[in-house]
Amino acid sequence: MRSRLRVSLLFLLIMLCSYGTAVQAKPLLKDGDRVVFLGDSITGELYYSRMIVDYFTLRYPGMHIQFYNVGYGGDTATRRLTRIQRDVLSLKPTLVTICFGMNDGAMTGYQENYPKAMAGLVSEIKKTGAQVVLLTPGCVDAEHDAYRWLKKDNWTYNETLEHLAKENLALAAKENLPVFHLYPLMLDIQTRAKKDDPKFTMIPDGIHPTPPGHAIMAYGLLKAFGCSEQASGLAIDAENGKATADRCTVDGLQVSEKKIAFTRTDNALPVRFYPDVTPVLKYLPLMEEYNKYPFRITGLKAPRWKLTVEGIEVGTFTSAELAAGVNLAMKPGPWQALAKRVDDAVVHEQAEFFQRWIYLSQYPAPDALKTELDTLITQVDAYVDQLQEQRFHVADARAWKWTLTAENEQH
Amino acid sequence: MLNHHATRFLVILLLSLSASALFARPLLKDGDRVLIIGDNVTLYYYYSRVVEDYFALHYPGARINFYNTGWTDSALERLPRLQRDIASLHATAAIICFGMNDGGYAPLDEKHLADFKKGMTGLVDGLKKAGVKKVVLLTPNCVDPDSARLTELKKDNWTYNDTLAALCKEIEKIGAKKKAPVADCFNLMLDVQTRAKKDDPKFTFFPDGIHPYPSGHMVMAYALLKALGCTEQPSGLEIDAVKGKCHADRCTVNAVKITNADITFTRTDTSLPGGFYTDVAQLNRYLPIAETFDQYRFKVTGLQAPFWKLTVEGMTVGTFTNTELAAGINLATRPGPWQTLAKKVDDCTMGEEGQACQWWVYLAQYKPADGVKPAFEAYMQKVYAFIDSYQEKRIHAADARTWHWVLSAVKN
Repeated sequence: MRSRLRVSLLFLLIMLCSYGTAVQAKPLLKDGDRVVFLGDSITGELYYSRMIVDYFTLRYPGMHIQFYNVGYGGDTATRRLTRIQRDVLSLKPTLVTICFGMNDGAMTGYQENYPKAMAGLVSEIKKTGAQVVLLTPGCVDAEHDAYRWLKKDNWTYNETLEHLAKENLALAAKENLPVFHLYPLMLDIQTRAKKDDPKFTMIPDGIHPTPPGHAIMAYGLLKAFGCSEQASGLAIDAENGKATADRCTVDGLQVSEKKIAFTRTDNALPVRFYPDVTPVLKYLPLMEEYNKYPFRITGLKAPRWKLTVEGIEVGTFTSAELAAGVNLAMKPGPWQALAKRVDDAVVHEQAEFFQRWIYLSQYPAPDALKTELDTLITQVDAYVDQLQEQRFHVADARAWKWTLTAENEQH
Repeated sequence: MLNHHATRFLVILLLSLSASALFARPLLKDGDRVLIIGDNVTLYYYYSRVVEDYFALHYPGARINFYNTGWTDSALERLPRLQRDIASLHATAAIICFGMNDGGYAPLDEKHLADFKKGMTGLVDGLKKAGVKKVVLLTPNCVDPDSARLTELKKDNWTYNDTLAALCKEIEKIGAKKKAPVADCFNLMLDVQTRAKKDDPKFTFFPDGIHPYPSGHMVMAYALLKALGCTEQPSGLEIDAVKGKCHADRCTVNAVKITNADITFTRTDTSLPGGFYTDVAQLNRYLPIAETFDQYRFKVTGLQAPFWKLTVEGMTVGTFTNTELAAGINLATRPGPWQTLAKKVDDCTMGEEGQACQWWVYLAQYKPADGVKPAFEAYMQKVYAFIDSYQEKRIHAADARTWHWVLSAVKN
């Protein structure tokens, strides 16, 4: 058996990554896209958009997709329709996600204007050739009714939201738009989590979700975008010293009885969903569907192996675990620091654009100063674009040295 | 006795008396740029509106610019952006009104007290260090725990006014130490509230217990104007119909004609009445607003006919007995062109505050990155110039104030 381990065998394997296209559906977003997140204060919390931007930056490193969040507190589809040019179309989007409904029901009952306004938004955006993706409103937590609008007798505002969400589905069907029906998923998760722990809430003021709630929204949007690609994967057959790479490049593979070493460059990285979304993961297959970073080695003789990547100890695994394949996405490794750097860039970029959006775009400049305000905004946008450009390159350096070492028996 | 040299034509040009001879000058003067710093009570633009109206009418032409920078914050939270606001607005004076959010809507604890002291001291020191020597501290309004929507305002024997009272004592101490005049709105308002509730238990200054109605802001403005040394009344005029002489207090009187039946003249005031747009009448019962700030005195002695009708610029001001006129009457709240003018000034103030509010709520909150700072600052300078053009409108709203006065004997 020992002879079958090719000691000091040097492989030079350059494997071109195979993007998910061959095996998985192509996501709606592509290089060069300009995406606008349109919605109310929930969108303006910058959480679900942050998770989406994190995802695309890490899963498709080098792909240039620009994102702009134009969420606005208290806003409705009806009000936004009157400002569609200034708020959305001026950004020249190629794709716009729309999530309205929370304020559209006026916290009382179903509002007639909503379907017409939503249809108006879709129509105006489609006229420019941009794609529209709908995210239905989520649910409220009527048991945490900080504003005292959300329930009365046997009625809760969720009845209104359910109605508005169905209007989204009808509109999506009519206009042939991708849509994610957020409302039932969010309500279902809320119901199940409350059953496990009556004190559970992901909407502490009844209306605005915390990051776990936003994780459900991000999950829904990724679904609507047609995203199904996991992070890169690598399988090594230690017996014959061969590697099978899924969207990664492996260089300098050395396989010995007690050590396997190589340099690996991923073309699809694992992500972190910031801030902490843990409370909802028990109920939402976010990690299972979007964060697998598989690593598999068959034919190992030693029973236990320590994996180190770029000097960071990832963990110790049995040969059986490695033969079955392990998911390293949430384990320690340089991908964690990289995900954090990407997230820092995303937070910075979002904050810069968002203050441009809230404080400059909303400023009702007097006529005499309108043109100069537009010029100023153009300059700020150029700065935001620079930040986006920097984000595209945060993950450029991702060739990492992997070392798998057999552990001594006595350990 | 009316002088019987009827139709005698008098041209009397009386230079207005310098107010400084009779009254203390207010703290604010021509050229001042006043930064009003406070929380969301300040952001309501009510008390600042009264103060702006007052200066535009009482000192027409005096170029005093006001910049309301109220926000939903506390003294300590405001500290980091203070120098930016002083520098960008070229402030020469400041009014600070904090305390409401600083107390934490709970019994005062050491941390909130320490933060408040640090915040207020930091603001005053920061202003003085930047050369802003005129700093006035306005204590916060009181609250009305009875009308509170928030249950945080009272508990057992405690109310949030206890916390505010303790913070006001700190403001007094800081004011004394830093030589900054203190306008004690809190105790004044609490006293008015107590007396008014005694007369009418349903009385309240607050729709929500915390944020005052305009009437409450009037109390704040009253305290502030007093602390600013605004003790001058509007101009006054006395005519001795027998001798045909006028005694003008800060007004110019021209082309005086006195007959048995009529007294006519043109008058230009250098200090005008009005500007107190809210229901002062109701408040006057508890607070001497009109007595303190709005006496527009007109006195005529030596009139023989028992009844006289006063018309100014064609507007009937009223009909008075010769006894009333001899005792002197206050025309401030009577009909007259000064009412229209006060409205015009107030409209200008609101127009200016509307523009300034947009600047403050949006542009002033933007924190430019280094890369866009020069472009942003250049744009801001244009916005300041635009706002200042509105301030100019207010400052000059009362330029045209030469009015034709006619006092005619009323025939039975």
